Amino acid sequence: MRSLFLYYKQISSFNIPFSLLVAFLAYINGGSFDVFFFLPLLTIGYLLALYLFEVRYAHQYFFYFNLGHEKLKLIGFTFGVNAAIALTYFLIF
Amino acid sequence: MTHHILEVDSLIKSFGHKHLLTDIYLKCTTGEVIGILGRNGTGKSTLLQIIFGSTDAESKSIRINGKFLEKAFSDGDKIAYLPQGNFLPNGLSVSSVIRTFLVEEDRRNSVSVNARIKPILNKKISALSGGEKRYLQVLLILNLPTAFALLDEPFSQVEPLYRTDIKALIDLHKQEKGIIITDHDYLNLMDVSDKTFLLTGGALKPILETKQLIEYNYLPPEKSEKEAEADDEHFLIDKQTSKDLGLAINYDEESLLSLFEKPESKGGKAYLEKLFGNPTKSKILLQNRQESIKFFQQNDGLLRLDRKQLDFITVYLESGIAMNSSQYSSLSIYLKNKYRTSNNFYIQETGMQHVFEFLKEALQLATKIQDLNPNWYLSNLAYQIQEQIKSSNLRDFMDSYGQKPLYLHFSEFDFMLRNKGKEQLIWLLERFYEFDAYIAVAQTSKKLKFAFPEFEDTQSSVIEIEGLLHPKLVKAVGNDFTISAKENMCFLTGANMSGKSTFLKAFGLAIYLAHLGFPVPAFKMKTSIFDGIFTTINLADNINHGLSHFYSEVKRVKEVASEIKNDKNLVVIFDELFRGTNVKDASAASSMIISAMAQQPGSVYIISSHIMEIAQELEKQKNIFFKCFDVRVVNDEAIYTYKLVDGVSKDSLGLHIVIKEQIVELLKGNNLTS
Repeated sequence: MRSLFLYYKQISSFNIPFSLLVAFLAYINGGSFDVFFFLPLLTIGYLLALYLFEVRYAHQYFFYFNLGHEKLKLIGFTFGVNAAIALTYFLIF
Repeated sequence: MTHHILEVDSLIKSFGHKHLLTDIYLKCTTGEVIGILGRNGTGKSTLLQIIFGSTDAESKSIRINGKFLEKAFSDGDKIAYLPQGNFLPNGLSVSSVIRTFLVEEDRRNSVSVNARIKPILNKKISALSGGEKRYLQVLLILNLPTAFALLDEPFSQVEPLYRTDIKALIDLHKQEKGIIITDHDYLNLMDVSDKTFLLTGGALKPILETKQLIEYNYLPPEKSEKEAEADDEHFLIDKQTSKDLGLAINYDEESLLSLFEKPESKGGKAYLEKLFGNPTKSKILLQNRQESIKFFQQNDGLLRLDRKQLDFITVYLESGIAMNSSQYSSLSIYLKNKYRTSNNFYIQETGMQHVFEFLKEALQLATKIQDLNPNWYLSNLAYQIQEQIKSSNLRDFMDSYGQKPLYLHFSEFDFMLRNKGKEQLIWLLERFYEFDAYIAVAQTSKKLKFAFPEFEDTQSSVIEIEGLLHPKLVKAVGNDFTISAKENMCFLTGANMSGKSTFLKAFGLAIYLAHLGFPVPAFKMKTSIFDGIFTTINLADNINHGLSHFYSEVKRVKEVASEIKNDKNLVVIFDELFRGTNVKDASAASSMIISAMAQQPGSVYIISSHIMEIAQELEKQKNIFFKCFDVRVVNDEAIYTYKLVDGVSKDSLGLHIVIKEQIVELLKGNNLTS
């Protein structure tokens, strides 16, 4: 689990700042901050983060493979955590 | 301890039309270390990754204890894999990596208390040296609770002390698991492995001793003692000889060098000039050079040379542009040059691209050369080329360029090439120039139908030439000539214009070219190795030193005589000895000097003369033999055969030639007949 969260942290280190930036730009143009934060967090920001990780740190996937985690599992876990956060947020607010 | 068996077979992996792995059977059991060697690109890493399950194959059967596994790693307890590059997250500290990577508490503790790891526990991964990083990675992989561990180049980029420690780790952990290792460090690999295989042609060949690696052309043939001792010993030649034979290093009409095809690259041209100016008496060097030229003559089109590329790389490496390896600097340079490219940026960007292409080409060339089983010298060079490219600096560049985004790694790549890898790159360029020079000589040899001389093993001097001709003459007549220690003095006579001087020059050139390791203008040549050559063909007076022509000749003879007395085996050529004095003195002096020289053993001499009268006197000495150029007079016309025959010439055509040129008629004002 610790290693899955490490991967989540690595992907989010780009995804969250990127999504915040999109949300901020949308907000100053009159858009909803939360919608424009979670939308890229689950779509373009997420895909871009995965792409950049693949380009820059492809070798680090072996770190996770050695622990028995397949790529699909890592991607699914990361998306799942983000989706769960988004769902919880929208259920509460 | 549970005993596990890993079996791999029916493995097929292709890239495009190339079958990389076709005939693999591998079995590894607990307690066993299997070592796999192989040249670059033979599929060692691919094989390990297929076993690990991170790379697919057209067909494979991976079994552990008889159970088929599609993705062996996904079980978590079957196989661990150490990739070639760093797989640890750079931002974490060593202790954090140990906590995340190793689940079992006792494993974590045993790694944390390791003498090499303890002092670096709080360091970040990015702050570790290459050796520390590699040792940590090997330690982590071996401490995973898996039945097998696959280690891809555990010894690469690691200093010898770390290598010993890594070997100790492998020895320790093989008690609980099976280990498969690939590496280029065959000595350490064979030392630590129970069984060694060589991956070649898609199959694994068992290796029992180092000799087999040479047979499979993985290692260059061993140097013989003689080869190891081979030093570049200089072959003696002086200014006068160089002038006589046209050996100046330029491309003037008179120069012998102008006869050779020009190498394609600037560096190749410079290399050929360097070779041309450095004759040697080292038989090993000469034979290596000959074999290399022959190799490129037989394998036309092997070297694909992009002249512009090589020239640009030289400019790039020598450019004094400031260096910085940070990502911030990369980004800043990239942004600055995005819309307006500076000259420096253009040189750096294009230079890197050219270096990348060049290194790829060099690797391919080295592989092709090795595949063709050349002589020891070329085989060793091909091996060295691969080793240089595999060195950490160039290898990092090769692995990352085109893979990592240039805008973040631009400065890092530039630093790798112009600082860390510069020496290796210059060495690699030099090898391309060397090959380019050999190709130029090979092409010349083919075009002019030159022959490669054979070097005699004998200590005593001998030269045997068949069909010797002057390479600059269009319709030259070939002559056979033999001179040896037994008959070491040739007294050469012949009428004017019969070809004496041309023959002497051709002979001198053949000797010089033979001592360059180059082919010679003859049908066949055998020669012993000489210490030098001294010719006196076009000797002039010396006004600056107040020397008359005759006195210059005397000084020259004395100079050569002192070299002969230094126990040297020389080739000595004199054309018309003592022509600068009256016939009586010339005759007596020639007879005296020739007789004295003929008694000096070791060297060989050819002396031409118009003074046929001294032949009778010289005949008394058994080691002097007589050759002359055959001229026939038919209907008052001289017919020159340019053929060398035995004996002394009786022809006296000097007067005939003067009469024929009608000089007296010209002076008298008579009409000249055409």
